[in-house]
Amino acid sequence: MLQIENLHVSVQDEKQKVKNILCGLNLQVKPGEVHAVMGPNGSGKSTLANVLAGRDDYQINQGSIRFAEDDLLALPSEERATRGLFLAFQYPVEIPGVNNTYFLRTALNNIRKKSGLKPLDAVDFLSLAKSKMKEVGFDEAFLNRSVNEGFSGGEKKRNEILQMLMLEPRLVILDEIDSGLDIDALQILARCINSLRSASRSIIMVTHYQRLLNYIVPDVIHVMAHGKIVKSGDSSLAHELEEKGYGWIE
Amino acid sequence: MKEHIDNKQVKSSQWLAHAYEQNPHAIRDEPFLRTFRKQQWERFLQRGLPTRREESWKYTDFSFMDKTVFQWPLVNQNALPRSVSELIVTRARENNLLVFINGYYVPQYSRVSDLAEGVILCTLHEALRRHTSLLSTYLLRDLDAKAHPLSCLNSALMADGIFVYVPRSVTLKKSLQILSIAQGSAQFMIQPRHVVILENEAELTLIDESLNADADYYFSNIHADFFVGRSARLNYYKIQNEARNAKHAANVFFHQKQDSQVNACSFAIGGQFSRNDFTALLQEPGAFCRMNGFYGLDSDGQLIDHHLYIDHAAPYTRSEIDFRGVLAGRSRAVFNGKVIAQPGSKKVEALQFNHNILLSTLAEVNTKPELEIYVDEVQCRHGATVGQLDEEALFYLRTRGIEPRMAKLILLQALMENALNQVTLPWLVQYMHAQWGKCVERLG
Repeated sequence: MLQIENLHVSVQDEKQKVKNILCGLNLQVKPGEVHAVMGPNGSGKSTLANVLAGRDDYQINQGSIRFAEDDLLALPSEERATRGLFLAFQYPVEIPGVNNTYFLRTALNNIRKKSGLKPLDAVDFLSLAKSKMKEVGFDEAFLNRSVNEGFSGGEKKRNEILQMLMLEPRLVILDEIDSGLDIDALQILARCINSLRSASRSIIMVTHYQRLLNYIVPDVIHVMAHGKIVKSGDSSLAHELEEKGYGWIE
Repeated sequence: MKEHIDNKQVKSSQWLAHAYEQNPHAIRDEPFLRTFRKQQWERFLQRGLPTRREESWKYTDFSFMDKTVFQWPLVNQNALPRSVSELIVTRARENNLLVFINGYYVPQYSRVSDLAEGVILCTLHEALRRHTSLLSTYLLRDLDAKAHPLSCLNSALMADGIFVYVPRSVTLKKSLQILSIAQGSAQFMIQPRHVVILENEAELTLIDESLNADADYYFSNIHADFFVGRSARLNYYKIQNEARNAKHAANVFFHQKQDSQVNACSFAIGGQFSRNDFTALLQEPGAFCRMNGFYGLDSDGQLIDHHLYIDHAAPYTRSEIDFRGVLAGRSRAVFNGKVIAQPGSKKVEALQFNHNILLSTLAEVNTKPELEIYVDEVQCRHGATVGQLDEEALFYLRTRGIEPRMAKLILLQALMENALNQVTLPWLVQYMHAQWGKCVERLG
């Protein structure tokens, strides 16, 4: 599904100084697998998520990323999305004036069109949206609000997961999906994410804390430090991290 | 863009004097009106056209009046383009509709029905004959020539317009629309004049739309007075959608009594040059005025100027201003909001915001929120921003599979929503979406 080889990424800070963030990262995710990418702050986790989604603030210096049969780095963000890549943002942006329903329907129909499917009409779309909203525990009133505008942290995360359920991506990247969630909300969202697990879909969870992994049990856990993966293992690695912190890795 | 500058310089005072003498709308004037026109004409002459040396006209250059002779238009007999005649039919279904073409009332397009008892809704000309004393009390008001020279000019030259009287506690069920259509190729001028009176607790929604049929270069100079009684409520939506090369000026006054509410929205997306002066006089305690606006400038050389003036003359008065705009090409927007808390007004609340998005490095915004406060107990906030489309939002939309051009169009459309949120008529929201949508398509 996803194959990252020797990825080197840098960014220019405000003082125009170049800072290397990813330094030779390798990662392979097979269809059906759930991977957790953990690591201390500043290890490059979020950069990895953003590079995968195609944010252009970053300089790719070396390496390659294959997404299914495509060269991911050659595709613009919207193409990545229409081919089934989805990033749930750590900090979803507020877009005043853009109606949530309109946004979701435009996104969904665009993706359907690219897959050769007929666009959903307003009625079908609404019934689909309403059923998915129920799953994420969202009041229907949110459909008529502007995208994320005035949403609480938890509501923004629910909106990300709602979009994920609607768009049915093949590769889901969750960037700190658990941050700012109380335990009830976390359980609901974890249930939604688990419901998407399938043999043809892969999930990458980027997270600082081990808590999320109690609800979504990954097949593989990676630990990042200094811009690359320094340790990989099964879910027992999470408990080791829980006990010892990140200090022993570095 | 076509330039319409005559070869020789013409003096505006000369051709305006001729227009004043030959005004076809003044033929049947009663002596009292003749006197009023004359007085206003002299005031205007004394004051002269505004010049760019004056602070509030710094960016808005009326010297085109010294370069072009605008004539009184003839009554136009030509058929309207189909899109416009269809628009008229739909509008007549939704509203009470008064249609003016080039300033002349057109009864066959207008529809008025379902008026509650005591409501007067007619043209200014008719009101001058049939409701003389009621109208003249409100029509013949003193104007500050220094601040509102175009209002003085309108008073001297006023053509037809509407007169509305809503008696106490009456709510007009249907909204009322003024549709002012420009038609024909001549260089002409229109001087509409409107008087609207809401008695205590009365309610009215009024749409004033300036629309181009097939004209190009003309000058439209509107003056409107709204007298809003105690606890009365007015929704006022103004749409400036003039021709590409048209010049547009409007002076709109809200005279507000105790606990009255005015909700005014200005949508300006047309014309080559447009200046809106909105003045709210909050004369008694509890009066509230909200002014929202949206301006979209999509062509080189286009100017849209809003000057808002809110006079908090009494305690517990409130005002909220929020204007937003988008500028492309080599266009310019001017925003000036002046809020005054007069001595003795205490407990005033005033908010004022202006946000601008520039799509081009050649576009220019001159924004200036002003507060003048003469009392202690006031709550005021103001702010102005000028920036670009939100890159984060664009990226977010793209990660959901939306192409960059579409994402941009979505964000541009969204900029009007803040003003549209104050509009209570669904058809109008839809219409503005479509109108602005056409401009946005060109920008995308």
